[in-house]
Amino acid sequence: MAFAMGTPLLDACVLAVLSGGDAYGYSLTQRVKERLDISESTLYPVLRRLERDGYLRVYDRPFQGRNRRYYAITQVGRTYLDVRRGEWKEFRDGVDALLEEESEHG
Amino acid sequence: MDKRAYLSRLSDNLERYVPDQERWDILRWYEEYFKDAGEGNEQAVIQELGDPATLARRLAEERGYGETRKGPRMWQILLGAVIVVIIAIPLMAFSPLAQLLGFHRVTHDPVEFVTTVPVEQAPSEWYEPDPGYGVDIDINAEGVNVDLHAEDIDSPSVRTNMSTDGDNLDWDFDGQYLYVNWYGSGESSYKAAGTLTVAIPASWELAQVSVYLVGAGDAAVSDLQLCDELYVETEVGNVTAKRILDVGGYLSLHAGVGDVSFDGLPARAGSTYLSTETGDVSATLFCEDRSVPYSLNTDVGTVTVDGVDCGSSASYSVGSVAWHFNAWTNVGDVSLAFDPEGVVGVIQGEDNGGIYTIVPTSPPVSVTD
Repeated sequence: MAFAMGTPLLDACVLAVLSGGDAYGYSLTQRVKERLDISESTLYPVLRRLERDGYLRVYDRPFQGRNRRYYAITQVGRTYLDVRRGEWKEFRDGVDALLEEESEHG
Repeated sequence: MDKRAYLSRLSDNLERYVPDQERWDILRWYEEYFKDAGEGNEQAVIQELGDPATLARRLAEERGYGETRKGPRMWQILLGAVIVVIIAIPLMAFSPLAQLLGFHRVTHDPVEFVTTVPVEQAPSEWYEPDPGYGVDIDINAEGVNVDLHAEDIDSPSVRTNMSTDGDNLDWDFDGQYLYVNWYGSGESSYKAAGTLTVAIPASWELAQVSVYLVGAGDAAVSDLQLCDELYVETEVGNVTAKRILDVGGYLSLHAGVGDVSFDGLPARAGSTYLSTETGDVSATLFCEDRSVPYSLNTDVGTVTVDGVDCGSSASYSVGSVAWHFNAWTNVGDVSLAFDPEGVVGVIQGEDNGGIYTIVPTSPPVSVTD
């Protein structure tokens, strides 16, 4: 794909997945990858950044004799996600408008 | 390349760029990723992740660590080389093989296990390993820390710093068998609710001791003089065993997630097992000499023996003895040390028969910290 997935967009996508329910690393990665062609290695830094900024929190749960780490969106994260959604819509509408205008005149 | 090899290469590469804490976090993430992907998908995950060196560099960059942030300077490399030579010279005379292998595996020629008993001190019968002789202790608890230790008291006591309606705690002692059960509230809590303290008379002779914790909670046992077996396991919590004199058959300390630490004497008629899935394992053996057969392993981390870095595993064999000291972790460090100052007794016995006895030097065991 010719278009790059920027940091704010990826952050928003991860938060959007978590807004549908808590997830552990592997399941979260799979759910993002179902929709987007991203490499796994980009997700760990994203999660750490979101955790640092308070948009998500982390907790551990025992699972089959080990601890599994889960990620949950916080209230601040939900607010942030709403803002990003608004911005994305604006951005997308702008791009759509330009691309469609181009094709109409072409 | 399998999962272990992959994680280990990733770890080695990360070490150049990121601080240890970050490295552990990253390794934990990938360890979990592998596990949740399923055993059958190991190769697919390795394919997906790509070259470990590239991945390490990429993670470091994205986490904001400069390319050579942790790279050693030339003077550090030279200093390291000088230190290695200084350490290697005395070791070369002692063990050419270890030097050949660059200390990654500590091996020596098999030697006979020999220790002596001073003749003026007759072995105390108290310490004779004799299953069925001594008190059995069974502790089962959920969501609570447990502290089991010996005190200068006449009868056992069970205390807690938690309010209880009486339904949580159930315990009894019939002169031969002490059991303590603590039932969790049933709510899913991932933090231990408080501490349950079980104190036993320091004079007690013990046979089999078992502490089993479910949910979150640390287990601490100290000042136990065992005749037969000690078994401690936590699900999420540290295991600490201090001043343990185990002359009997079996000693096992295991944490699902948590650190395991031990000091005292290893089991002499059977084996000692210290293990955790995620966490560090450390042991200090109060042995008069170092003739303890051991094997130490970590998947992701470092093994050290008396402070010497041994890579990811170290072993030492002592002829054909039935007992063995084992310590391992999936993710974490393993360290083994010998403390001559910690000697609290002299061990005697034959290689295989399990007829070891400890002659207490004075005092037999310290009861207070």
